[in-house]
Parts: sequence; structure tokens; C-alpha cells
Amino acid sequence: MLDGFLSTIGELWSQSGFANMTWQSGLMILISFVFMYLAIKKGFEPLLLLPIAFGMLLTNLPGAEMYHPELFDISGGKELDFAKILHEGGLLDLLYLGVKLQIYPPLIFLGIGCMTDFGPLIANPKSFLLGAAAQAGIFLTFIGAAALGFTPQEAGSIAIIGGADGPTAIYVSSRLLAAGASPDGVAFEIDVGNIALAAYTYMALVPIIQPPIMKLLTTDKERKIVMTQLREVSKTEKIIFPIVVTVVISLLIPSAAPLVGMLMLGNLFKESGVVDRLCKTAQNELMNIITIFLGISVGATTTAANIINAKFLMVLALGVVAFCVGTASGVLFGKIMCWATKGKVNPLIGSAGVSAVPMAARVSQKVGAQYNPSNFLLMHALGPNVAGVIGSAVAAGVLLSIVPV
Amino acid sequence: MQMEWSYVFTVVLTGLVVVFLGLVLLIAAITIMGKIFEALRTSKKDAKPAPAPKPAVPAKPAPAAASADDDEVIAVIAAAVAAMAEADGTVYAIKSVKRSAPRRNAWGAAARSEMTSSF
Repeated sequence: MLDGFLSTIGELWSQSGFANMTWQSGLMILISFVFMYLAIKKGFEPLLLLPIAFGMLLTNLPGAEMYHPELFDISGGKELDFAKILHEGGLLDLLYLGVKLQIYPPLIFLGIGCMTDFGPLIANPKSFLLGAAAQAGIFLTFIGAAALGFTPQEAGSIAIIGGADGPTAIYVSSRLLAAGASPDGVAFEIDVGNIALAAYTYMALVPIIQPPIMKLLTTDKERKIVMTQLREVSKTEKIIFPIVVTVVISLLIPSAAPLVGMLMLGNLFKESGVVDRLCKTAQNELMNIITIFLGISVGATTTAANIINAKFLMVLALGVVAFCVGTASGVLFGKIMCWATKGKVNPLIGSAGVSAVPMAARVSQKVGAQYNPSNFLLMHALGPNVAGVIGSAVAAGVLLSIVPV
Repeated sequence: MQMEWSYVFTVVLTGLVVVFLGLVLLIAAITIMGKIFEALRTSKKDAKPAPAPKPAVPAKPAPAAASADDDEVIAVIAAAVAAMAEADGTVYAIKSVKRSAPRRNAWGAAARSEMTSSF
């Protein structure tokens, strides 16, 4: 009897996660603990970081097998087998389909649209230029990624991190990396999880990354510039705005339509004032549900094999470059606008052009207030900030149009 | 496998130009929209005074309203001073209350700094 008991215990032990733990899995579990600490204790983007961290923990528990990367393996020209995923997949596999099929990002944009006030942008349409300038980080990082030997699809996915917009980064990378290999047959060495993790990490670090760059590129006098009050925007203008943006952008870059279209639909819900129920659902319940699904399934893709490798380190390095270049080009363009308007534009609002709403606008406000406590740049910075969301969606559309899949 | 540099720079140039072009188109569209609405607003304002039949009548009640406003303001100031006097045990006399030159609204500034300080 004792032998039977011992052999059963031995079998249980050999099947347990403890016996199957590798150092890579152990390290990833520790990293997930660090992320949970950052989310809970430090409040770094907790709404996304917490589910991502927990997804990371679940996927790296040996033997738990909550996510099966092999179901999504399409290397060597294989097609995605949806029937197999539905039959054999677990909870996280099914939730991951929303990322794989690019369903979550546009739905998140719908909620963001319901929460965004484009008033400051309508009052000062020139803010669009700052939103466009900050996208330079995306395209200049493309050069860096090419120099490091990434394929065009991987380079595009890494570059979009510079847009400082999580859903956009997931949308672009899941489209560009969907085939598992480039048209020339070179297998991709990074995936959506890498991109999402890097993008959300840097978005959480916006208040730390941006201020030194903003201070470095501006003079004391420029930082103290007080901007004139914005004009009042009528309700009709706010209602027409989302329709105009959708038509103009979708006609110019059709591949930007899913993101821009949903963003503007959400905004039309808000501004029209006739579908309050839909607006509330999109910005609360729907947004929260999608955030949970997105966070946990992105976290699930961060398996040890995906994260502990040199390529991911390169993604992290290029991601921070993209972010810094985006911030710098926004501030530099702000300086040009300051010069062109004879000192009416505070260049600090340029850094808010890298979406990351509303964090980047808050950073502009905070840095401005450090040098002139009675200066209120928040509303002025929100213009380039929301322009940055539209700008990064347009940049995403451009990348999807010109990089072959 | 290394990408061809001509391709890389084509992507970068096309990307930057198209993003700027898209957003410049939006600037044009939104500016035109703003101009139209501004014009409609001013034309409405111009149109409103026309039907007013007696432009001379409102002239008289205006000072009365202003003085009523002033009385209220003086009462509020007196109450605030009385509260202070009670607190520190001194008696104050208000000799005159004058309006200062228009400047930035202090309450507005306080509210804004309250709202934005947390950022």
C-alpha cells in the first residue's frame, strides 16, 4: 500500500508545475509579479497592466496550459485552423481570437471616441500639425528596425509603438504579423505580445520619459508662454466633426477606416446626445469587458520563449527610441509653430502629439506649470493629444497600405 | 535579411507625407467648417437687434440693475468682514468699496489650479 501511495505521489509530483518549472518560466512569473506590483502599488496603467500581468502569470505556469501558441502557429504557409481552435482551445485561446482577428482595438476606439472631447482640436485645428509631427517617431524608427535586420512587417510593427497608442499597436502588428512569415518566406521572430507589452510599458512610463526631452529642447522663455483662450465650439460643429474626419481619412487611407471610423462613431454617439444609452455602454461596460479580454489575452502571449530572447530586447530598445523621437519631433514642431506665430504657441504642447490620452497632455500641463504656476496648458495640449490619436490611426493605415503582408 | 535602403526611405517618406497630407486636409475642412459657423453666428447676432422695437427703453433700468448688483456685492463684502471681525475680536468700518480694473477672474484661476494641480 505504501508503495502504491509513494508511486502515486511521485506521479503527481512529476505532473506538477513545480517539477516542470524551467528557469525561463520562473523568471517570467517573477516579471509578472513585478508588473502586478507596478500596477497595484504604483498605479502604472493598472486597468491594462494588471490583466496583462495576470495573463503573463497564467500562461507561464507549467502544466496549466491555458494558452496554446501552437494553435496559432501558421509558419510554413499553414492557414489558421479556426475549427481546431474552437474545439481544442481553452479560454485564453478563444479570447486571443479577438486580438488575432483585430476585433478588440476598434471596439476600444469606439469607447475612446465616446469619452473624447474634440472641442480643443476643433477650436484650434492647427493642433493637427503637432499630432502629425509626433508621428515622425513611427517612421524614423522604421529605419532603425531595418538597420537591425528586421523584416518590413516586423519593422512596421515595432515602429507603431512610437504612436503611443496600445490598441493601434495591437491592430497594426496583428495585421502585419498575421502570416507568420514575410512574403519572401522569412519567419517572424516577434509577435503581437512583444509589441503590446512594449507599447503599454512605455505608455505607462510617459510621465518619466517625456519631461527630460521637453526640457532639453525648449528654452525657459518658451516654457513660460501663456496661450490665449480657445474659442467656443458649437454643438453642431462637434456633431459634424466626426463625420468629416471619417469621410476625409477613410477616402484618403481606406485601411485606417476601422480605427478612425469606430473612434468617430463613438464620438458621434457622445456629441449627438440622442443615444446616451449606447454611449454609456460603449464607454463603460463594453470598454471594460474588452479591456479585460485584451489585457489577459495579450498577457497570455508573453510566454518565456517569446519574451526571453535578444529580439524582444531589440523591440524594447527600438520602442523607447520611437517614443523619444515622437516626443522630440512634436516639441520641435511646436517650436516652429511658436516661431511662426511670433510666440503664441507654447512648444511644450507639441509633446502631447504622441496620443497616450490624456497622460501626454497632463505631462505638458505639469511641465508648463513648473515654470509658470499660473499657466494652464491642459486644454491647449488636449488638441494635439487627440490629434495624435487620429494621427497614429492614419499612420497605422499608411503602414498597412504600403508594407506588403 | 536586410531590407533595401531605397525601400526603407520610400516607406518613411511616403508615410510622413501622407500623414501630414491627411491631417492638413482635415485642418482645411475643419477651418472652413469653423469659418462657416462663425459667419452664421455673427449674422444671427446682427439679425437679432433689428426686430427690437424700442431701443431707448432699456437705457434706464440699467443703472438700477447695476446699483442692485453693487448693493449685493457690498452686503457680501460686509458679511465677510463682519465674520472676520468676529473671529479676531476687532471692529472694522467699511469706508468705501471700489471696483478694481478688470483682470483675470480670481475664482476662475483658483478653480483651474484646483482642477489641474493633481496632474
